[in-house]
Parts: sequence; C-alpha cells; structure tokens
Amino acid sequence: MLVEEKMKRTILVCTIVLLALIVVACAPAPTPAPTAAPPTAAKPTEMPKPTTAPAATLPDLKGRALKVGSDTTYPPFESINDKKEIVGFDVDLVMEICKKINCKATFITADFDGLLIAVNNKTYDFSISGWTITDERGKTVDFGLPYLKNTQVLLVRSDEAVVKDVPDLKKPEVIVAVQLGTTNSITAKKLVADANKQVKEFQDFPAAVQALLNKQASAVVIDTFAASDLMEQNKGKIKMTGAQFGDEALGMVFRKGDTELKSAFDAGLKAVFADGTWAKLCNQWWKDITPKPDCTGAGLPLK
Amino acid sequence: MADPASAKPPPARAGRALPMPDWARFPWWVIILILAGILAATTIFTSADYTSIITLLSSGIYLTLYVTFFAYALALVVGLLAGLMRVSRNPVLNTVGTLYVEVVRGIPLLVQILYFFYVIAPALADRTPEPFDQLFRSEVNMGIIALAIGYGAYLAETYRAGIEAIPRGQMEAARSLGMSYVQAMRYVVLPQALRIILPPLGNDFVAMLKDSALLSAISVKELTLWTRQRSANTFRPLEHWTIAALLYLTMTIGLSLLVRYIERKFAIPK
Repeated sequence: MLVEEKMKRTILVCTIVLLALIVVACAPAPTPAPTAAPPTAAKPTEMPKPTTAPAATLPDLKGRALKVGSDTTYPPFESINDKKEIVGFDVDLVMEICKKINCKATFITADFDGLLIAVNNKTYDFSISGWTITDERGKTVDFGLPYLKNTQVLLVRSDEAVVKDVPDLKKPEVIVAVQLGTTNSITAKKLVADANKQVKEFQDFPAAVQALLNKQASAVVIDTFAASDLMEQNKGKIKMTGAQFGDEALGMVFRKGDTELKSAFDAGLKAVFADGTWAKLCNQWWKDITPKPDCTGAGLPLK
Repeated sequence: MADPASAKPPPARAGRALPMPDWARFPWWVIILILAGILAATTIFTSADYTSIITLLSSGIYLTLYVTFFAYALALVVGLLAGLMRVSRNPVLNTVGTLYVEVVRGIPLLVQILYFFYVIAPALADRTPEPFDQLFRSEVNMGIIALAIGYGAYLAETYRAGIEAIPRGQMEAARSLGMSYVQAMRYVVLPQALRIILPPLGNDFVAMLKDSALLSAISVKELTLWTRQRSANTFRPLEHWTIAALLYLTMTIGLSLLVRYIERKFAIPK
C-alpha cells in the first residue's frame, strides 16, 4: 500500500538522519569545559603600601557615574531605612571617597551570593557589602585596601542553655543559621560536626536571626560588628556568647583587573582616613551600639 | 446539495485542522533532546570539573524528590477533601472549600512558603508540647506542608472539574438504587472522575517538582539551594546552573514519560 511505503521511507530517512547527526555530534572533541580560575598567587590580606598620597595628587574620575552593588540587609554597614533610602557605614564611606575622587555613586540592592559574579559581569562597577577579604574570593575579584578590622561571633537566644561557646557547635542537635555565600557560612561548616545537617543557609542575616528567634536554629555565626545592630533591634531576645574568633578585614570588591577604579578608591580611602572622616563615620554608625569596632583604625594599612 | 466533505476522501488523520506530513509528525524534539543529552553526557563525563560538580549537586536531588513525593501525596488528600467540599450542597462545607481555594490560589506560592515558615510554623510550634514542636521547626516538614496546601487548592479545582464531568444522572441512579451520597461518590462518581483527571494530576506533579525549587528560600537544602551555595562559593555560575538545569530536565522528562504511561494505562477506553 502506498501509505505503508511512504511510512517505511520516512522511517528510513529519519534513521539515516539520526545516525548522521549522532556521528556529527560525537565526532568533534567534546567541548572543553571552562578551565578553573587560574591559581594565581594568593592575594595577601594586608597590603601595606608605604606610599603617601597627598591630597593634591588624588585621582580624578571626572564625575563618573558608578553603579554599586550591595546586599542592603546588613545594618549598620548597609540597609534600607524608613524613608526607603540605602544608608550605612559602607554607603557613607563610598560617598565620602567619591567627594575626594570626583565620582557619583548609586547603590543598587542585590542578592549577596550573586554579587561577586555580577561585578565581574559588569552589572555593577564595584561592590561594597561588608566583604571579608579572603584568598578564595581574591582569585575571582580584586579587593581594595582593607577598610575595617572584623571578627566573627556567635549569636544565640537570651535563654540559650546548650550553646555557650564555639566548641558547643559540635553537638549534633545544634543547628546553625547563616547567610548564603558569606564567610560566616564557610566558618560555620568548619565548626559543626556535620555541615550538611547542622548548617541552614538563608538569603540574608535578618532571615537567619528570625529563624533563631523562632527556634528553628540555636545559633547564628555572624560578623561581630554586624551583630551589634541586630542585637539592638532584638534587644533582650538575643545575645552574643563565647569568644570572638577570626582576624579579618573588610574590603571593597572590584572587577578582576580593573586597576584604574581600584587604585582610585584606594587613594580616596587613604584620603578620608587621613582627614579623620573615616573615624567620624565609624563613631557615628556604631554610636549607641556594641560591640564597637576600633575606630582609631589601628592595624589598617591606610596611613 | 450533497455534503461537500463526503465528496472528497477524508484526510489521512481525521480530526486535525491542518494535516501534517508524516515526517513532521515524527517526534523530533525527542531526537534533539537525546542528542543534546549525549553531548552533555560526553562533556560532563570527560571533564573532571563537571564530574565533581554533578556529584556534589546530586546530593540535592534526593531532597528535591523526597519533598515532591510527600508534598504531592499530601496535596492529593487535601485537594480531594477541598474538591468534595466545593461540589457539596452543604453551605458551610461549600463556603469553607471555596474560601480555601480562592485565598490560596490568589497568593504567590513563594509568599505562601515564606509565610508558613516565618509566621504559621513558629506559632504552631510554640503551642505544641516540647518533643513534638520540632515537627514544626523542621524546614523540610514545613516546606512539604506549604507546598501541599498551595497545590491542594489547584488540585481541588481539578477534582471538582472531574466530578462535574460525570453526568448527574449517574449520581441520581446510584441514589435511587439505595446508595448513600458517600457511597455513590465513592463507588460510582469518583472512580470515573479520577480517570478523567489523570492528565492534569500528572501535570501538577511535574509542576510541583519544579516549584520545589522555591523551598530554597527557607533553607531546604534541595537541588536549587545546593546550586546557589556551590556557585556562590566557587564563583562559577555557568557550570553549576547548567548542571542544575540538566538535572531538573532529566527528572521532569522522566516523570512526564511515566505520567504518560500511567495515563495510557488507565485511560477510559473510547
């Protein structure tokens, strides 16, 4: 029958085309997977540059408009106030630096865990978001000079009985809440016995603290000077416990290889440090809350 | 005048508006997918990077499937109850059923999940005696319940559609034979309705598997949260999200085929 003949021919043609396609698809070498980030030499955390930058030689960005990516859920570094403005220590610091080096910064809210990638993709010109400087991140992006010393600490509910200090996190019933993609999350996974079961990751720290308040977790690992504001907001409900640990510094994040912007901000940072603006901002944002960072800037390579 | 259709021979496949040639009816999309799968597989298994990523991300698959299966089973029950309420003549049951369906269908699933985790779950847990309160503090349990309640509303409407598709005469006949309303529903109407609504039920199952990704917002460590976390720690979004997409696709296509098989098996013979 004609129909059957046609059917057979169609199937034959299809089979040949299919085989040809498979041969073509398999013949070339498999597409190379993107190579891993080159193992560049570990970026030193401290970058003491003894060069003095007098105000007269400050770089001039000629009023350049800059998009700054930031996860604005992190008071007092950056958060959104009742007037829907993005405010905080990081924000003021960038604005003050921009006054010195002639730029116009606009802050844009974004999810923390995608921020570094977004900076490298040129979605933002740079990022300031309480970034702890680490070697691992240094392979992907460039850090500016450290602008604040920081440590990490445990937050627990005020009536917490089990978690008193860092070693208690090893107990299998303890659940630790952290923010996704932070150094605190990495630290927490090292401190618990079973990282897979004991660490819950949230989109931001307020969510992690809410889980703590709701008893869905028994501790939060957080940067010490971000803890002060959360404790103020939840007065009497949460407290710090145990020793502070880690010796870290925060830095601004620039696209890998964007030395122009990075050196301009490094110079601007030194300038606002030298004229006392930095200390003023530090004292202003940690005015009534504790713990308070060292607002003399001891140990920062900004002189 | 004679019917014009009877003058010509009927097209090869009756019932189609535009008859397609044989070659076009061949399921080319399957071929393309298989080829893409072969390409992806060779790429993945010849690259140490991809192999390690797929191994790491696979640990999220278990929880994705676990959450989907339990949430769907629960949604089937919730949906059936709500669906029966919707077709009920009892004004109280009808109002409660309609209220549930309208409220839940009007709120984005993500908002429902967050609301459940941050508002309802702690409230329930605080009112539950000590050892049992952990039930409401577990993000996995809460995720399952939130998904089940969200999907229950859609399934309720599906059940209702199925029940209303059964001619009213069948219920009347069953009642006149002395069956109670419940018996008639259980032995006459529902078995037929279920077979009618198998395709949409299967669709919802696959949809729920995809929506389980929303649970990443409440720290359920399923495939999406794993991918976010790994991609954030390694700064390599391309590899991680590609693998995640492929893993989801493999699961949904596999389930679609399974659903089709079940549909064919239980279809009402024409």
